[in-house]
Amino acid sequence: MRVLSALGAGAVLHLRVSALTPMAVVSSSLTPVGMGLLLCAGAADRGVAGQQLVSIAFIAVWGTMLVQSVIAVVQERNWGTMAMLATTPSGIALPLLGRVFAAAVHGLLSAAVVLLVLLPLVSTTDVLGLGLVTLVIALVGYAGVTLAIVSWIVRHRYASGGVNGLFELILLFSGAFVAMSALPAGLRPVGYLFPSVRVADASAGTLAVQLLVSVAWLAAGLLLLTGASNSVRKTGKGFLQ
Amino acid sequence: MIRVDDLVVEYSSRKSRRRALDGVSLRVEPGQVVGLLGPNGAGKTTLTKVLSTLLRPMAGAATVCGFDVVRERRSVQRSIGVAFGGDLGIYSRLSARDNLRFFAAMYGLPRRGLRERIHDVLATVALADRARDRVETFSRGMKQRLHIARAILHDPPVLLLDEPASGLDPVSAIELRQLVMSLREAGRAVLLTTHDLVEAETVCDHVNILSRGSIVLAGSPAELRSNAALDAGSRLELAVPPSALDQALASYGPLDAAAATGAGASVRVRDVAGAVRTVAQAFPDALPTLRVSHPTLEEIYVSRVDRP
Repeated sequence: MRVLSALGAGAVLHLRVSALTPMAVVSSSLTPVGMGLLLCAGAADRGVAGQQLVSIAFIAVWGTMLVQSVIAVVQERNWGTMAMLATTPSGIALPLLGRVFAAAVHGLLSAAVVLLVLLPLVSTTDVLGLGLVTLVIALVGYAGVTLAIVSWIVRHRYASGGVNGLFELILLFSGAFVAMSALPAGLRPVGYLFPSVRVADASAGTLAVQLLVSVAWLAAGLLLLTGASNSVRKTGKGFLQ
Repeated sequence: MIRVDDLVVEYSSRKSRRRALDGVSLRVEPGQVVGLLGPNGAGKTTLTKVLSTLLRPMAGAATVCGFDVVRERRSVQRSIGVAFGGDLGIYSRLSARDNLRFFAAMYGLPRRGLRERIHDVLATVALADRARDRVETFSRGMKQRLHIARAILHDPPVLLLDEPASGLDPVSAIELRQLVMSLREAGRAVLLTTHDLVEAETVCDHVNILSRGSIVLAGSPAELRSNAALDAGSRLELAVPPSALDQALASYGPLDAAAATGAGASVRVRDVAGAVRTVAQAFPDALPTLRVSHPTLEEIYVSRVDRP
């Protein structure tokens, strides 16, 4: 009960302090909409395939979730509230996970805006339904990836600057725009570690595997965040500085 | 309630290692306010961090309500209320009520009766009429009171208050001291970190003076003053010339030569009663101008602490 309560409170807090407004949703959908329009303009038949729509929706959610979660950690640290959270029985992991989920909700709303704008331009939507299922399963895992990155920032005060590079690197391994088979052979094993949003990989069997990978990432993210909190307790650094 | 024994904390980096607490021991009992005094860097906040489970000690032991701060962290966290003071530690964009509602969820407080509990706690710190206002519109004194409201929300038996009156105007500081005293009367054990010697003297039942990570002096404010009077002497001031005062008190071995003051002369002596009797016999006409002052907590503090 306390776990759900802390998760819910973290999510509500995020929506309130990050001011989730229609304008915020629209503004965080502008980059993916722009990318979609570029893809449409470059396509011979002036349309994008279902996979590309899913990939662009993924960018909307993943980008919003990652950026807002990093900002959330920096906010909590600078406001001194992270230290206060660490003195409570809930610790920092649960409320931060709540904030990551709320950021994902924001991202999903932005993705809906992206789809609304781009759907009239699409020539084929044959794989869109399956693609959205793949996307939702993958996003559970990317919430874990986000927590893992967040744990790094909790531990290291000035680490947030490295997040930009990670965003695009992980995009490469997500299967959003480049199939695993198209990656250099040395990089493929790394790619298989990340949840895939590639519709071509989504059969019933692979979706089950994807779900396992996603749940594993979520568990790993929570463990890493709890570990970061414990590490800070030993060193007095990170968010205690 | 709070037991600290030979606590050691070190901060280390690649280049250096610094001992922030070096064998600190203290006790805080129910219904007692214990003060931690010391200059910046003396280790006061480090000790508060250990007791609030934010920092693990390298050696020694610390328990709160019988729970070990390292091995039984969750139990300790339920037993303590923490107020770090200042603008940090609360969500400025939320209202006072929403801040408390959020932290109630962090403590797993049941929803039933929560509204009444939040109202009661805000009334205790005189913020009930501002419950719906955003914290960013609050004065510093109101924010400090909200910190204390958050600290007592889950009704913990132990409170850790880190410089709660820092930066307050005199009226707000007095109000906050009254609040701390009311918490003591409610039977809570309070560890109060402060720079403010007036606050320590007014509020604390027991004072520990920390310097460079060690407790250099401990006792009630009255004990500290009387011990310091034995060590450093008390000051006698009288409207007579310094040389006459020196001559009269020669047999008492004054601690220093009489010095001229605006009103006459002053001298430090250990045997205050004997010195007063002698002065009364030697200078009966000047007796109405006699003033005796014992060392203040401030003088004791300044004489005992080293700046890091």
